[in-house]
Amino acid sequence: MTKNSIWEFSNPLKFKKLAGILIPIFGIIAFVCVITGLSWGFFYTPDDYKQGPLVKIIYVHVPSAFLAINIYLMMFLASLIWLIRRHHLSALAAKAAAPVGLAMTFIAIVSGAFWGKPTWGTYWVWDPRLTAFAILTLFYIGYIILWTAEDEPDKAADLTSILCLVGSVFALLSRYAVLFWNQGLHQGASLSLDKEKNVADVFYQPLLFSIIGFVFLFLFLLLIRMRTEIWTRQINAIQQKLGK
Amino acid sequence: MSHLGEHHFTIIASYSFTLLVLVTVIAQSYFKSRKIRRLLEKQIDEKK
Repeated sequence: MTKNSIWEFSNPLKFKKLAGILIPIFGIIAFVCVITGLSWGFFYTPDDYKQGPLVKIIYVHVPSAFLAINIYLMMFLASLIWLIRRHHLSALAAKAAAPVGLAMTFIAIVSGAFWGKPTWGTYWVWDPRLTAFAILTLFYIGYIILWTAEDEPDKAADLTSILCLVGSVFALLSRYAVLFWNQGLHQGASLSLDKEKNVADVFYQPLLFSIIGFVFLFLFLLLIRMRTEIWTRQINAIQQKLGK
Repeated sequence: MSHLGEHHFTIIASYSFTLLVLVTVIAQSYFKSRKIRRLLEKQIDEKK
């Protein structure tokens, strides 16, 4: 291991020190960007020519859906690192991220339903993207329950990691279902890495702020929750030593 | 809220629900962290 390797931070002591520095920074960036993005989108953007003011829901729906999928993919990577390299922090990262991912999934589903009723005429429809998203939600719930069901931490990490790997298929499907099956009510991706622009600049700029804010909010919560998990393990270790 | 037209309830409900969930997650993470930290400090004191 080189001195500047990223694996250095798999040492809980070094991680806690770094987290202590980053948590307030991420918190401030998240607060500023979320407030800016949401208030800019809510108060200062024009109506869409087709959807009218309903387009304002994009500023809560797209960032939450973006995170719901990407948090699961982050959990997939963390689970893979746990299974291959057995770094405890990676298992804790996946565990800490899951409730935040579930919260983002709920926001995406509820805001999507509110948006769907006036535009599609229904709150919910079993189209490929929404169905994949519903299954992803179940995987989030199953993942969180499985962590609480097993007392032995390493065994729980093994079981949840395997569940996470299986569920990652549905995270990818949620993202690419619109491309795989050219059917369903849900529109194509609002954000993509290709050059084609799917959202006009006037909507895109506040949306970008909102997304950046949500990403930093996730990082802020992730670090807080990971640090709490490390402290919990320290408490358990002390109790075992004291024979409680 | 007149600029939101007939859909004002739908839009405000989406924003309110989002903010409610975010505040809940932040509060839960913060208070749990604070509680565990205090417990750890107490354990370390007991150990000494």
